[in-house]
Amino acid sequence: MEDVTPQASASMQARHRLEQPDWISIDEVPLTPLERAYLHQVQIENLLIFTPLLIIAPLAAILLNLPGGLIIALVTLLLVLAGVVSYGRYRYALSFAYGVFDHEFIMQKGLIWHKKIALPYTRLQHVSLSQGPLERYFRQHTLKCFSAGSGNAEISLPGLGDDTAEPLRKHLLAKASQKQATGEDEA
Amino acid sequence: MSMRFAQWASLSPWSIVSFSVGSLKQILTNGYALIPLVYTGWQQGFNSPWVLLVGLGVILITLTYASLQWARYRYRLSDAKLGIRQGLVFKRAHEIPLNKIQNVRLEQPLYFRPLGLYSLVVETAGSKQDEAVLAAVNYRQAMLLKKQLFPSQAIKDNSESIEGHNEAVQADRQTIAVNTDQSGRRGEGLVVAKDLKALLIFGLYQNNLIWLSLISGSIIGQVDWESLGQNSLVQGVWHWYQANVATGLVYQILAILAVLALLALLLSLISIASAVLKYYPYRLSLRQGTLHRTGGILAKQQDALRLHRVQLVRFEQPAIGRLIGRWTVHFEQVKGNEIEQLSKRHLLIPSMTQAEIPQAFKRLDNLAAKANALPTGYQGIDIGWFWRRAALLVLLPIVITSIVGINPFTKLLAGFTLVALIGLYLNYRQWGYHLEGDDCWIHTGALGQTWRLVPLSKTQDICISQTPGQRRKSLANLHLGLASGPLVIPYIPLKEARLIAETALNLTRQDPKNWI
Repeated sequence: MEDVTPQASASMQARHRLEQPDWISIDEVPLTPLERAYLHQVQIENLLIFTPLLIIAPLAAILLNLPGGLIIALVTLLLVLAGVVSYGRYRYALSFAYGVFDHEFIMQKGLIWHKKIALPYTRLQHVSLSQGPLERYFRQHTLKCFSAGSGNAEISLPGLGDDTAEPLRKHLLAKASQKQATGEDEA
Repeated sequence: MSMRFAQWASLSPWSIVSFSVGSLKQILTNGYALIPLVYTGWQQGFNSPWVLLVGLGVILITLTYASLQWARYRYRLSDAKLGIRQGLVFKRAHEIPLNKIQNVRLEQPLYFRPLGLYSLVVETAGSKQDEAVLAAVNYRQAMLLKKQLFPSQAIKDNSESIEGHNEAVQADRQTIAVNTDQSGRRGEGLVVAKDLKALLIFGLYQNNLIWLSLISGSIIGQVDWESLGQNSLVQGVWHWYQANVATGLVYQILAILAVLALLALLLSLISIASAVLKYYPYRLSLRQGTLHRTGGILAKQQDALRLHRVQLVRFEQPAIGRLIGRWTVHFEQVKGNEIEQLSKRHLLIPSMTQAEIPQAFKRLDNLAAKANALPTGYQGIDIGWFWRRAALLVLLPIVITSIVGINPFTKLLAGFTLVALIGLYLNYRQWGYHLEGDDCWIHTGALGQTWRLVPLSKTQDICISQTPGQRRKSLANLHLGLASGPLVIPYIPLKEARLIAETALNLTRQDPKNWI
């Protein structure tokens, strides 16, 4: 354990930097919420999921000659389920927010498990933008940021409009290559 | 780079042997379900000509296929890339840039030993086809290839790549460190050697009972219990048991314990044998910032791993290891797409005592983590973690019991729940962290224990997550994303989570060099 003293000093240095006013912790920085268009998209998605279900289920129940009470119970259950899930999805969409900072990209999401994720540009391997059919109609994009190792994206941010998505992707890539290039110069 | 390997070359014809063994192995591993079939075939009699014919056919097809594989296999080394072309129907061409090579391994399978030939395995990170194998090369060729593929290139292109820079910087640091080292040249030397006794102990405590019991399960399924009951020896034992042991509860418990101990010993013997066969004589040495491991009786292996590629050091102590005070040290690298394959293959040091760890780790200067010895204690997580899970766990038996009432089934369920609760509590007691400079130690375990040494400069992404309940008590879960896989420290004070997160972000902000 003779190495403990220099290590402690290194940590003191890190701690000292924390006390500067601009080092607000990643879960305290103000973030930008998503555009309204994404909320509309989510609501339309909800309609598309539940309307067919709400039509098919009673029809099927009537065709199967189920007793009336059961049909009413089934439809109420479905309605309640649709309401809860739709509201949950709406609130979940509201919980998304992101922020572009000097050194890292930060996003938040989650209703119950409220998550703040930070990805430093120096660790960014690859950025992708994708667009599904509904997203195309609403002019929305999903941004995914990948780091090494795991196959899935560390950051997956839906609901970026046409005018933000592409510039954001370019900015992230530029930041990443710039960071990695300055590292090359310094080293 | 010498021109020696610049032209497309084919492997030695002896590689047909290794190609054959490779495809046979594939057939056998995929055909594990065939074993009962073969068993019944055995019952019906193997002398039928069909069996012979099929066997001959399989051998012939394998040999032809292997020869074709050999005939189509070409490799070359040029433009700082290893090129490989192979394939009969589906042609494949790989180009592996030399600086993307993670690991070069020299293996000597049993069938190559009399010929003095080796297989050179080139591993890369994250690629789908995770490795390239150059089979049946002689020692001189293998060494020449290895030298060109692996550490030397990093020093050669100093000026071009960041990696070269790292290597150079690290090499400088190492020369300083080496002054205290007995061997003169750039930190070269043996770090750890393990003799037979240490490996025997390793086999004893690192006992993978689960795997063995899984295998034995399928064997037990094949046994004809009815006819076994008729066996006079078995009946004799049973009578002896009835007469002498079944007289008292204490005796019965003792007998069951003895049988279990015997079984454990038997399984330990298998695990000890496999440990010795796989690792003896174990030698880990350091050359030019690269760890080299050699050993293995059946298949001689040579493993190499650059120290700065180590993402995480895991010190593992299974329950038995805890009793005898031995640790297994794993060096984890970037997780590839084939998770199981790569993670099993990482470098490990078996059978380390607490005192040996600092001695070995003092030598490993290029490791991103600076800590040398295991910490003496850790900061535990909040009890809320336990209550939340315990409440969920207890809910099921309570609901079921309230519906159906107390019966043998619910009693059994309650028993299982109790065991699960104890396990959960042990997990809670052992989960903790310890911040030491720029390194974060994470402690986990139930009966055994594991320390993970996380160099915070290797983190890739950081996530602080909170439930409303956690927010009220200002607790948080901290997720650290590493290239070797994600890590979680749950239910720690928000202040601590922020401190670790900010320390990690601080380090990565300033550290844009290649971390994988």
